[in-house]
Amino acid sequence: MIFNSLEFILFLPCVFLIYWLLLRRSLTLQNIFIVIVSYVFYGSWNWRFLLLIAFTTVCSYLSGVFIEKYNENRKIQKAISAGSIVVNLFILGLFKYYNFFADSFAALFKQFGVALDWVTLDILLPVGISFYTFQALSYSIDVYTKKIKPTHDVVSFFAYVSFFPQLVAGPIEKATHLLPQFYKPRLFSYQRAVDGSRQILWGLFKKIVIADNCAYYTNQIFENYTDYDGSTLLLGGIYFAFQIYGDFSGYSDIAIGTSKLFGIDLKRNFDYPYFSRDIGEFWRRWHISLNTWFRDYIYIPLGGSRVSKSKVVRNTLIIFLVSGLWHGANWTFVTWGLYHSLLFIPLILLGTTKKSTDIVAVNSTLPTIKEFVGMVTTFILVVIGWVIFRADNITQAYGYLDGICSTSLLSIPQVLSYKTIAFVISSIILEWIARKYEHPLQIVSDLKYRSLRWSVYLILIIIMIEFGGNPETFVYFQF
Amino acid sequence: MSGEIKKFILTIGFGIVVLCSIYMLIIGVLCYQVRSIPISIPANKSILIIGDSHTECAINDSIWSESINLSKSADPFMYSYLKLKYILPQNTQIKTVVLSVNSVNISTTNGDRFLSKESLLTSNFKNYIHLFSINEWVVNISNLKSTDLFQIMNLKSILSERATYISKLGGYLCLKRDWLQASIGKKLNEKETVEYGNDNQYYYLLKIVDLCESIDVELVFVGTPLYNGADFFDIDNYKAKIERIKSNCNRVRVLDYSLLQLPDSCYADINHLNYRGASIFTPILKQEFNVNEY
Repeated sequence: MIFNSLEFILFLPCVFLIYWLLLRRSLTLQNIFIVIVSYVFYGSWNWRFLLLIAFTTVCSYLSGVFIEKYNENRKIQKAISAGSIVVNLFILGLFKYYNFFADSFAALFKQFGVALDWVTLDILLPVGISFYTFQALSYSIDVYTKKIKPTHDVVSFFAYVSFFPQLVAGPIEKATHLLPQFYKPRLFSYQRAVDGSRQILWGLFKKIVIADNCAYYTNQIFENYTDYDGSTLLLGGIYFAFQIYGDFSGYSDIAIGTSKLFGIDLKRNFDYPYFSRDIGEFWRRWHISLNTWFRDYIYIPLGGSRVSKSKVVRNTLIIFLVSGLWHGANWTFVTWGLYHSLLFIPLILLGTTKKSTDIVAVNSTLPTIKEFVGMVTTFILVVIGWVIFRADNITQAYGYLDGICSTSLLSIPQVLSYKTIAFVISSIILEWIARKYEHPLQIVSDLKYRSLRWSVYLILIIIMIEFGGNPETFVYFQF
Repeated sequence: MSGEIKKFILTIGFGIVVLCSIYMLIIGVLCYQVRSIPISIPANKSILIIGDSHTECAINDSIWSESINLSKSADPFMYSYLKLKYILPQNTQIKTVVLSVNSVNISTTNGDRFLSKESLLTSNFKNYIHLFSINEWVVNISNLKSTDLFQIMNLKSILSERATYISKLGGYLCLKRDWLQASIGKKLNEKETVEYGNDNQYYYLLKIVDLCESIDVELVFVGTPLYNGADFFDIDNYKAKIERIKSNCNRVRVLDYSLLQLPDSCYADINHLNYRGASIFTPILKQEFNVNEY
């Protein structure tokens, strides 16, 4: 059941009405209901996945219970926490990475004439496994580090791990932020629900109009990259940059907006990343929930930036490699992570990782030339990374980038879609105007006349229906 | 219900009502516009050929001057009926309707597939929406898949192509492909069992019979040549079913050429004739009509 499907369009209002009209007097019933509908939502992909998520949830919940039981013995607590982490990572590794490492292992041995074909298994990758596993891990670690008290409320804990809006593609919530929200009664707020609805609308627009239209041309260019000239290949990279942004940030907006309808706040996942002036800023604005997860649970425990520069470089390299591997079991993702670490490390050495922390051109309409050059340069570097990310394998990534770096880069692209480009440019302009807001449709709330506000919503819906691309599944579901 | 929830539900409800009203208005205007396009068939055409890909590929109306072929691939009887209901009253010179009835389109499986296959459903929905009565809405909506929603509501194609609407209703398809061997391989060991249990197909076939009788138009069921029909299709069962229908409809004639043997070079695949086959089969059919003065 994907967000841009008829099932979800029917599912959401039903869940909303039952949640607020029938169950609003009982917090426990509301939480039980959230668990049930979340399992229905997730089970709509494959009911077998439910066993896995239930197992992960139970393991993490029990780790909290036992950590509390052995309150006096830090060693046992450490062992319990480590056990929970190992179990969760084992499941993730088995389902997501087993074949990747087995294939690589078999290929390596094949070079020495040893056939190891038997090592690969036909394992189905459960949707969103990386997202909920990281969320479950966050709880075990936070309980061990005493950032949160272990919960005895099993229903709330199940709701925390499986909360359907963010279950399959995030934002990845930390237990310290999301879990306590299931303990407290939730009050319906008209303003918040309206804002959530606007955010859902903007998310759907990005997914259906921007991402799905770009996806068509991205697929066409990447699948036949040897037939195109440099300018078309560059345009293909740009199309993919907007496809993945529209797709993933669109999903996040829908998830955050849907959560607002249920009185739950999720953390922001994207903060206009393509307006970043350097790579450091890009990584503070792109997939924020994953990056803060890595920062809090890997980078800081490794010493963070309070160690020698060489160790900071090492820590950064580890974070980017792990981040690449998190995205999928493919060397292209690992290379993509390595590529970004190489862009990031010079900023560490120069001590400029946090040079741009404010909103770009905060007090003016247009950026300065320096800011503009910074944004364009960063975007081009990011697009090169996306080519590596999107390619099926390293050979294709190399061939694609080699094709871009040719004299035909200055020719007119062979695959031009004026409609798609017009929508992309319009969305960039809208986001630029709204860069101080959480999402562009928050500006609409400032419009004085209701009819004007509704006209904007209806125009967006009609554009979605009339100009939306062929429905594609969300890219990040595979992660 | 608290005031805030009520206010929110009313607000969203208002938006949905406005959106639906706008779309219903657009659909209404488009349907009216398309319906008002006259489907004018030349006066010398007294035979209308209609149905699925079998007649679409087998009957070349350019070499049969009295006929016009408006068959279309995978059209179930529902759409053939809608087309006839739309075309016949406007073109009273049509005295005979040739309908493709074969062992494929009366089978249960294919009848269902023609109605519910996602790509067909989407395109047919747009092509025939202005002809729908309540029953056709019910049939189509019950077959809708979730991902069709935006495709179905996308009205651009009707807006942009309504001027050439008749071309979307069908026509002779000149097949030049050679998939015969591939289709034999696929069909081998897989004999078609004709089960005449598809309610929709049966319902609309009878409606076509009633429609033609009510306006005094001759109805002829035609089964086009199939490659080695006796080997690959359940022709006996098909014939028995057709005879049963015919026994209830006195004025329906059946011309079954399923077992007519043509050279291999005349087939695009085991179901369809190619352009060579059409150029041989069309004169045979024409001759039958001339001799028996339909």
